[in-house]
Amino acid sequence: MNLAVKFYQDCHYCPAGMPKHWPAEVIELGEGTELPEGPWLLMTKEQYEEYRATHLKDYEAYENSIMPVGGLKRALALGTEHSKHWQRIRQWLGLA
Amino acid sequence: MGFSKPSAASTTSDAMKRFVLTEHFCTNNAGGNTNGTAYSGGGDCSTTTASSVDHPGVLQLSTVASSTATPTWSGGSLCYKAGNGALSVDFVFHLPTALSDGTNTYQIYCGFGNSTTAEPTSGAYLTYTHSLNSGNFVFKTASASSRTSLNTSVTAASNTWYRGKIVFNSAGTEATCYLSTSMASLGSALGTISTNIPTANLFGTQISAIKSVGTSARALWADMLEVVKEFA
Repeated sequence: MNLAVKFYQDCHYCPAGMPKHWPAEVIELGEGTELPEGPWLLMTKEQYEEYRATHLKDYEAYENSIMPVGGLKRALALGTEHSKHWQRIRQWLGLA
Repeated sequence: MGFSKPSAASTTSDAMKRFVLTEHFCTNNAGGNTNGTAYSGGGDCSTTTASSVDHPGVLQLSTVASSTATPTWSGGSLCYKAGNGALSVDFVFHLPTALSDGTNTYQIYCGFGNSTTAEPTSGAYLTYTHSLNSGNFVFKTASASSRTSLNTSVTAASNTWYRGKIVFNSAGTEATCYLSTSMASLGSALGTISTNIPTANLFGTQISAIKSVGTSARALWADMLEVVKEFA
């Protein structure tokens, strides 16, 4: 299976903080190799899956940065009382 | 006639083998009868206007006079993953009386999704806007914000009811899409996607009308949504 892959760096709608090298759009080409017009890269399905697995940690860092639970996780992991998130948790619990 | 002791196998609840969640929007609560939530997003979500004899219980997702409204019905965003048994969503929706155009631009998303304001980053869904695939419906899968598109040949028609269905296979390796204007028959599959299947990322169900240009109201109707999971 061949794929046409476009990355966020080539998309007009790249969200702030999204890794530019993360795949944004895919079109399945079957056995074909003809790419659509524009900044598309030809990859096999295996290459694509391997690429995503290799760069997944970059996407997860972005996802954690935009999810509220990411802030909570970081606050608990860091355990610092000066953390903005930790302060909010303490306020919510009535401890600050 | 006496009672016999049930075998171990028969004591397993059917709910542990098959999960079914059906929403018919037969309520004054725009969130529906299940655990869904309606997000007006600057528009309006209402169940009181569009029901008919053929479509009892209809949720209207209207953009009202906003150019940026995102009215969405969400059946949760962290409910499902593909794999370990077939997972499907069956849904019935009605396109607005006017199609999307350059003056009043909107995009709809129906199916499995995880957003209450925008295109899903995890799921499998049908989408339509006039500038995409010449105004024909597009079937998409999404996993961790990477999306695969499959152009369909089904033309979007204004003021028309559609029945759609999306099925993840048991292994969670592919998603297949159906779409028909017939409520009785889905017909043949429009196509199958085997990349960006959300096996690691959770998603729920989503029906959205996302407005981006123009202040004329556009109303997407949703009549029914049913999720079925057959545990492997």
